[in-house]
Amino acid sequence: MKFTNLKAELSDELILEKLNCTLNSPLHDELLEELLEIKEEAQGLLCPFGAMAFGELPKQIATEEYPEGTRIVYVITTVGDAISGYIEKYFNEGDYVKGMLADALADTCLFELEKSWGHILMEECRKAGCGISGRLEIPQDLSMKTQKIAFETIGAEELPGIRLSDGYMFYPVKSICHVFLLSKETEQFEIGHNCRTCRNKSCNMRRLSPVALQVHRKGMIETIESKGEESIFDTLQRIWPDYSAVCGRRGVCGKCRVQILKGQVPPSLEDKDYFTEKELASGWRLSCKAYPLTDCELEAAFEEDGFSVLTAGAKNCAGPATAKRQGYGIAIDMGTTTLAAQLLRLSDGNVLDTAVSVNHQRSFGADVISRIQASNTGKKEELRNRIRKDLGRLIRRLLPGGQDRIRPDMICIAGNTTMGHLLMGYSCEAMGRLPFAPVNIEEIVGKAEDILGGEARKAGLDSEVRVCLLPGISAFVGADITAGLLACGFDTAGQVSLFLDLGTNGEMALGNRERIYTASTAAGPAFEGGNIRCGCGSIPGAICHVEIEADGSAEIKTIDGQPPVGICGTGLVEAAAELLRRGFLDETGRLAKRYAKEGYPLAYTEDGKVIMLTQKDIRELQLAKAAVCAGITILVHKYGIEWDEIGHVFLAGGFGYGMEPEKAARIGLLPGALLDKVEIVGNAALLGARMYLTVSDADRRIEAIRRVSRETALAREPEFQDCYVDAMYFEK
Amino acid sequence: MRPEIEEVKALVVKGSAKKVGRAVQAAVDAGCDASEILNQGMVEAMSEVGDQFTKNEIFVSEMLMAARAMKKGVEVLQPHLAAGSTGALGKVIIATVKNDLHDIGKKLVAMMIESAGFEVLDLGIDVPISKIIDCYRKNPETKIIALSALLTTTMPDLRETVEALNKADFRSDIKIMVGGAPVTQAFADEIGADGYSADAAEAAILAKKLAASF
Repeated sequence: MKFTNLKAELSDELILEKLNCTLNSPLHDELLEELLEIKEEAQGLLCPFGAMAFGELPKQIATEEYPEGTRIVYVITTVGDAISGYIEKYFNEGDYVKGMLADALADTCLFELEKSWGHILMEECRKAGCGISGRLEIPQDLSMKTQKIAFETIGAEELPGIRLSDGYMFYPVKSICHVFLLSKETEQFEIGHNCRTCRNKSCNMRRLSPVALQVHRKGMIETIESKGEESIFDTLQRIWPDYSAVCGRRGVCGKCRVQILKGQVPPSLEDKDYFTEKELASGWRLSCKAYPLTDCELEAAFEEDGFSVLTAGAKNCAGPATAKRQGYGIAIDMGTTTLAAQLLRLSDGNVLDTAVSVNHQRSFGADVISRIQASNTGKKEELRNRIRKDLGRLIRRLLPGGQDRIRPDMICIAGNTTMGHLLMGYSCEAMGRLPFAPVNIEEIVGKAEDILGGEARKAGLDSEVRVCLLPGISAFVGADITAGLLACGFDTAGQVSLFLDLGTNGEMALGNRERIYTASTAAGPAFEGGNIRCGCGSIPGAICHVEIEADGSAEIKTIDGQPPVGICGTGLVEAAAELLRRGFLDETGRLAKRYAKEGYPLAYTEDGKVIMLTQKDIRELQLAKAAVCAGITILVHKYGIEWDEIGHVFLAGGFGYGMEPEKAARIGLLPGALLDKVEIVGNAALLGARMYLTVSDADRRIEAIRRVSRETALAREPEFQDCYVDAMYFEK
Repeated sequence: MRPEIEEVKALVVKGSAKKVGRAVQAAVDAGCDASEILNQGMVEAMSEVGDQFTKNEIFVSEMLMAARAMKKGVEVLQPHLAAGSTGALGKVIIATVKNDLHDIGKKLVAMMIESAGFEVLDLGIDVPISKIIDCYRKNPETKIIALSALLTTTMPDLRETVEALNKADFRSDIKIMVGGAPVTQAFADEIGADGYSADAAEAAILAKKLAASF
C-alpha cells in the first residue's frame, strides 16, 4: 500500500529546536534568518512518499519480548534523495550552519509526515479489523535487520528509488522505517512515539508527558502527578516533603522502597542488586531509582513519627536546680534526625512538658555530610527555614495558648556543629572539606526572632525571649557533646571517664577536669538503622532486644511493645551478638550457610512480611563498630592511660538506650575491659541544655570543659588503619 | 594578548560572524601578527567553545555559529597569512565506515577538528577500506585517520577498518581515532585504535594530542 500526496507542516521553531535552538537562545534570530534563506529552496527539493504492509515478525528478528509471529505493520517513508545532495553541497562549501539547518529541515519533514500517513495507517488497520497497541523502535526494540525485512515485505516496487545498504540502512539517507504492534482492539491507536518507554535517553527530542501515580499511603489512596524526568521518590518528596532519603537517593539504603501494584516501572541496576528476583517480580522497587513508564498504582512506606526513647532514660546526673531563677525555660536537643524539647520551671528544674519531632531537614539526607552538601549546593536558606519551622512548631506545642499561658524567659539549644550552622544560616563551605573549619562555635545568645526568624512570633514567644546556642569544640564535636560532658560532670571529676554518643557520627570524649580528648569517627548510618535492609530508627515497633535459641529461633522485644516493623541499631547489635553466641556467625562476620543466601529471619511484621538480617547488614555493622572501637582504642593510647584507669563509660543517645552492654562488648563494639563501667545516660545533650538553664554557673562550667578539650583527628593517627582493621572482626 | 586579538576571540566565542570579519581587519590594521590572530584569537576561541559544549553549557547551534564566525574571520585573514598557516597541524582523513550512512555527527567532528587547525579530508559515509587507503596514498603527509560508526551493527565494520589500517605499511606514520554513539574507550582499545572521543569538541582536543604524540 503506497502513500502519495504526503504533506508536512514545517514550522521554523520545530526545525530550530532540532539544533537545540529555542526562542530564548541568544542566537535564535540569526539562525532563523539563515533558515529562511534556504527554506523555500530546500522545501522544493523534498519529495515525500512511503508505503506500508502488514506482516508477522519472522524468526530472524524476533526477540524474547516480541516473539516470532507477532502481528505487526511496517511503514517506510522518505523525503527523497535530492535534499541529501543539497545538504552535502553546503557542508562541502564549509557552510556548516546552512548544512545543519537543511539537515534539520529534512528530519523535521520526515517526522512530521507521520501526521499525514498516520490517518491512512489507521484507516487500513480498521479495514483489516485491528488496532495498534504500540510502536517499536529500531535498533532499540528490534535489530537493524528489521529494516531489510520491512523493505522486502513492502516490496521494492512500492518504494521506487529506495535501496538498502549492506548494513540495512536506506538510501536515500533521509528515509525511515517504523514498526507497529497490532492489536485486536480496532479503536486502539497508540501510534505516537512514547518518550517514556523509549530507550534512547540521550535523545535531544526527549519530552516526557506527566503520568499519574496512585499512592497507597497510611490506609488512603491519593493520586499525584509525576512530571518530566522525576523519579518516583522525587515525586513523593515533592508532595510530601518529609519523605526522606536516608542514603541521599543513591539507591543503597532501601528506605524508599515501594511496591508497584499496577503500571510499568522497569527495574534499575540498583533494584537488581537490592531485591531478589521474587521481590522484583512482585513489584518492589527503590523509588529513588524508579522511573514510571505509564500511570502507576503503588504502595509507599511512610515512617511513623514516634520517639519514645528520645527523652527517656536520662539519668539525672545534673543535680538539683541551683540558679534560683524564676520563670520558665525551654531546653532543646537539636539532633540531626530528631528534635526533643522540654519545658522547665527554672526555680526547681522540674520538667513540665516534653515534645519531640523529626528533623524535617532529613529529606535532604540522613547524615550531617549530606546536609553540608545540600547547604553548599544552594539549599542553605531552605535548610534554615525548615529547622526554624520545626523548632517553632516544637515550642508552640509546649506553650499552649489561653489566659494563663506560660511565657518562657530563655531557650537553650544543644546541637551538633552542622545543625548550629544550618540554624544560624552560616556557610558550611569549610565544614565539608579540609580543614573542616566551622564559622562559629562560640556560645551564641540572641533574641528569639533573630535566631528563629518569623517562627518565633508564630510560636507565641515574646520578643524579649533570649535564645542561647551552646558552644561546641570543633566541626565534628559540637554543642551536643559539650552539653553531654557537662551533664556527665566531666568538669568536676578527677577520675578519667569515657563519653560515647553513637550515631552516624560516633562522637567520643575521654578525660577529666584537667584534660579531655575528643574525637569523632564516621561510623555510617548503621547504628540508626540506615543502610540496613530492614533497618529503622528508634520508633515504636523497632526491634531492640534479641535472644536467639540454639535451634536458631529468635525471641524479640520491640520499642513500646508494638508489633515489629524493623530493626533499630540496638536490635542490630543484639542480633549479631546472639548469632555469634549461637555460632550462626563466625568471627570474620560470615553468616552460617543456612542463612548466607537469604539472610536470617528475625521476626515477621503484622502483615506477614519477614524482617531479615542479611549478610550485607552484618558487614555494615562490622564497619560501624570497627570505626567506634578503633576510635576508643586510639583515644586511650593517646591519653596514655590503661583500660582499668577509666572510671565510667557514659553511653549517650538513642542508640545506646536500652542496649545491654554485655552484648555490645560481645561483638567488640566496646572493649571488653570497659564492660562493667557502662552507664546508659540517654539524651545527655538535652540534659546538658536543661542544666544550662537551671544550674547557676553552668556557662562557666561549659567554658571549663571547652578549655581543656583537645580534638584528635583519628584519620590522621598512623595506627588508626591497623586498629580499624583489627576491630572489624568479632573477637572479644 | 593584544586587545584587538582579544576582541576577535570574544566575537568568535559569541558566534558573531558579521562582526568578526571587521574585528580581524582591525587587528591586521593595528599591526597584529596574522598567525597570532589566527591561533591566539580564533583557534583558542574554538577550543573554549568546545570546552563549553562538552560541559553542556552551550548547544550545537552555538558551536556551529562560533565555527562559522571563525570561518568568516579566516577568510578576511587569508591574504595576510603565510601559505600553510591554516591547517598547520596537518591533515586528517575522516570517514563514516562502510555500511553506515550516518553523516551529521561526523561532520561536526570534522568542523571542530578543522577549527583546531587541521586540514580535513572528509570522505563521507559508507566508505570502504580501499577508499581510505587510496586517500592516504595520495596524501601521505596525513597524520590522523578518524573513523565513526553510529550503530552497534556497524561496529564490526569499524573494527574491520581499523584492523586493516593496523596492518598497513604506513601504520606507524598515522594515528587512528574513533567515535560514534555506541563506541567506547574500551572498544577503541580492543580494536587497536589510538584514541577515542565522546563528542565533537573532545575529538578536536584528541586530534591535537595525537598529532603531538609522534
